[in-house]
Amino acid sequence: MAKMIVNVEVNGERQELLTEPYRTLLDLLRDNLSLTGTKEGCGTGDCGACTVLLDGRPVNSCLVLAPEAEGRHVTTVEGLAEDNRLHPIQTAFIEEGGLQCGICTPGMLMSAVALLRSNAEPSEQAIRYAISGNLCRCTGYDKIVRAIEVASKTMQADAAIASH
Amino acid sequence: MTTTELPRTVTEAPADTATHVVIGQRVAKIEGVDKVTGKALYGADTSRPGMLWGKMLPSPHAHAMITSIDVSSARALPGVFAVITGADLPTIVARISDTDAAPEEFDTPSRGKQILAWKKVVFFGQPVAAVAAVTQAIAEEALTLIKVEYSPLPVVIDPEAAMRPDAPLVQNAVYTETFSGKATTPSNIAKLTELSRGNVDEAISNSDVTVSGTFRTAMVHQGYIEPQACLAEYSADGRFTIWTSTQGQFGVRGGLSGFLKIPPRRIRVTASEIGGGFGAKGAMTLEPICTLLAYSAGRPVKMQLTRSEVLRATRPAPDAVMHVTLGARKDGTLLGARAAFIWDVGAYPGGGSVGGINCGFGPYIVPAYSYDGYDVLTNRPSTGAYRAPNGPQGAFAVESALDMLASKLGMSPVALRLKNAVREGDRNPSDVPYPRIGFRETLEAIEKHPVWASPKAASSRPGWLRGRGVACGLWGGGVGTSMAHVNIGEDGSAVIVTGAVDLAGTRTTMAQIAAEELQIPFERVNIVQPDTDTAPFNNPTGGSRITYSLGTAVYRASIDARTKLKQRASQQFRCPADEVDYRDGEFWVRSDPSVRLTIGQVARSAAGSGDGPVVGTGEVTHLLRAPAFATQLVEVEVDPETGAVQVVNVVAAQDVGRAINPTACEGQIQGGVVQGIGWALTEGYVYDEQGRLRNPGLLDYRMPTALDAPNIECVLVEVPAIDGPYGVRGVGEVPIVPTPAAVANAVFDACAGRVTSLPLSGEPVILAINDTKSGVDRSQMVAFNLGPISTGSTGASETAVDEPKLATEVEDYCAEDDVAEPELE
Repeated sequence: MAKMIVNVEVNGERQELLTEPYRTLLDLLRDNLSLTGTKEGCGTGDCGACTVLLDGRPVNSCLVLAPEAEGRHVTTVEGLAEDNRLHPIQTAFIEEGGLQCGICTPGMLMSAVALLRSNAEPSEQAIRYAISGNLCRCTGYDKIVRAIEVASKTMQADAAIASH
Repeated sequence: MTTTELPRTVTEAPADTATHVVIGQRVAKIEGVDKVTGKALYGADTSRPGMLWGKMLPSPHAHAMITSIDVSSARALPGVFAVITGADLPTIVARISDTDAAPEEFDTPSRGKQILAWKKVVFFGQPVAAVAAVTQAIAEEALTLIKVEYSPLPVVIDPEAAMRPDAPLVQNAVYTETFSGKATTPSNIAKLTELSRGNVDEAISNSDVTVSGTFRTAMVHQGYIEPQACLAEYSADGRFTIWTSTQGQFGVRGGLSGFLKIPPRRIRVTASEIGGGFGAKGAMTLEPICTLLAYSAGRPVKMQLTRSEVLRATRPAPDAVMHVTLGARKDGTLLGARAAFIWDVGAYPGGGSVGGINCGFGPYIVPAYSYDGYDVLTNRPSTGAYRAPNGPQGAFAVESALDMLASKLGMSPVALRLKNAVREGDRNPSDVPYPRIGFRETLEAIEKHPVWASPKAASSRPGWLRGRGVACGLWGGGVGTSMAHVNIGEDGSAVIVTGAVDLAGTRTTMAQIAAEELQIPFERVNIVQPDTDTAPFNNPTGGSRITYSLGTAVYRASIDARTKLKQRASQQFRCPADEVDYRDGEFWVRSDPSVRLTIGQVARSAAGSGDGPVVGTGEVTHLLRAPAFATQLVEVEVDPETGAVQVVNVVAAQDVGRAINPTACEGQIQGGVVQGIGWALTEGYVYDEQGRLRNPGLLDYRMPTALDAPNIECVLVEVPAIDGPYGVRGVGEVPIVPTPAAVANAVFDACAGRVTSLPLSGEPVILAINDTKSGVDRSQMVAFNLGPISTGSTGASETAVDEPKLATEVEDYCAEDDVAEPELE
């Protein structure tokens, strides 16, 4: 099958990528760009391990065809830390024990970031709902929920300081 | 082997909690940054130049003869570098090893040998052929070009049906194995395990109260989020390099060495970061086939299972049919128990057997018993270890029966268990005495917990019913060989070098142990896990053995390093070593404490003079097992209209011996409980009559989400184990054991329906409620009507004997451990 070029911005960098049209955004990230932080757990949109932000919204990148990414902005787990400083959600996951094996963590972080952008102070139920598309088999979710609560508080405090 | 003496060793590191600085602290995960930034490399994340992709052709039949395979078109497809089938295995292995690989070797009923189907397929999805091609798409296209002709055979997927004499034989050369020998006619019953003590018939007939029941659990999957992945490369110097997601890199090296008939020195294995294992990645899956493809293609080959392959054709946990009868006095004292546990171990022998019996009945004193375990072959994937292998099934049967007994006696289920709970010195069903244990302490923790002590709340959902259930669990503890080095750096830091795989946090606990014993800050300790060429030997990770066994090795290596540092310091002080004192990173001569050398100064000087740089070593081969017990209280809400069940609250008490890192302990417990909730409510393999798996995806194989998981309060009970450092016990396995039974007991409490099969949410609850309404008493169902079965037995006695008959592995509390080397069977 003829290949095509997809122009996409990934973690702030413009990329021009050659791909067969049947490949997915997940394939582009992992195979074309070697951004292997985004994981494949099922390939059918059921586990959420491949969650990335597409124009700011969380999507299962295994369900996004490569051509659909044309002209769009993608954020992956590799794009969360800025200037070698961890994002508060990353720090909270480490501090609160919100990860064990870590395979669901990149996708979980992206869902959490999307939630906190739209709802700075989510309830526990809202957190659980927001990550219900991300399966975790190690933690039983409890410490992930706590980590997102902590990140929410940290980010609000940071925002308050910044606004002063 | 005699078991009259309780083996005792001296506790090496005292469990005196007051003196600990780093032990017991909630330090953050040492590899946390790599995992939250996407830097950690998992099985599928490594690539090599010129790498090909490998794919396997699954069988569309659950049971069929392979009459022909034509791979010529696939081989001719541009971009395809290798195509292999089962028939090619002896030739390729012979070429690699330069020895004869006889075809008969691969014609044995062993999943490990038959990495590709040999002459016949025995389960749906079994790999029949494999290809390596430049892209995944070309590899997939090549698979469609392979022409296989099958001659279908009758299928058996139900273990009870498979036990009948007229059942189709899954394997033609499996003969029932018993303690007294092997049968002479082939049978689907691969193994019969009989454990007995005293006169159980008399004990049951002398009982004031008896209960019986038949309990069923479904085949379930470990559900790790990372599908198995492997990368193999062959070099012209005759060496293989393997990167793989495994629980044991030395196990893979040993297994491949056996399979390929080459010495271990020709194999180098790097265990990747592992995205969940839960026992399943203790055995090899992709490694042999990936290695053969890389050799045949002359290029590196990467393989990654799809989720449907993971569900169809790896090694899930066996389903079980369990008949149980309990007899007790009016006061609740157990007098006798009888059980037949039937394990569906899938298409190849292994798994099942005595572990479920020891986990299920092990927590209780039963004066007279007769427990039979049947490992039965069916046309399902061969089964394997899943977190406390076979414990949850056994506990579901026994803990449900105990709940029935408590309700019949009008007794508190906690009081009933306390009355019969084993103590130190009591023996498990395999007649092994328990060392110091903390079982009663977990029961007492639940008994006095406010949730248990307060009246039951009303349901938060209109029309739903709220209930509360208790169950207990046991895991015998894992042991095995571990080794670690502790390298002391010139700045007084330490790097632990180990070859053990960290499944979910043991790197951090190891660093805590080293920091504690070296008396340096936790932040100054690092830990690395290099490949099999570089790292010291370790058995695979599993059975909750790492913190216990590797922890001992790291403890010893740290002490060794400290001793050597003291000796180096004495050279610098020019005094005998026994006159040097050390504390919190500083050395001094006892007679003159004013002159001090830091650990960094000593290490720096030693690196270029005297006896040289310091590396501490520690090893351990066999500790006394440290059994771990758990008691869980589960609160559920049940919709009596639909049978839907929501777990709303869990209190999980567990004897962890000593919590090195409470956050990590809680994480293990909460994770185990939620896996148990999945087992209880929604997870289960569904097969059609042809033996095809109908739910090979995560939409229909339904694992708990964050919305299904309740609040889980962990109560860490600390009764120190008598061996190993600080009194620590393995934590990971046991929390899954009580959960399914506790959920079922809570459902009974909510709606008076006794559910005896898992998964239970929905229809089974409605049926159980209807049984109760129509007066069916499940506690008196006749349990032991197995019918005529073709054990092909060599005549093993079925009469009760006074002396206990022992399990094959007499030292095991839960014999089917998942710590064994993943050698090919």
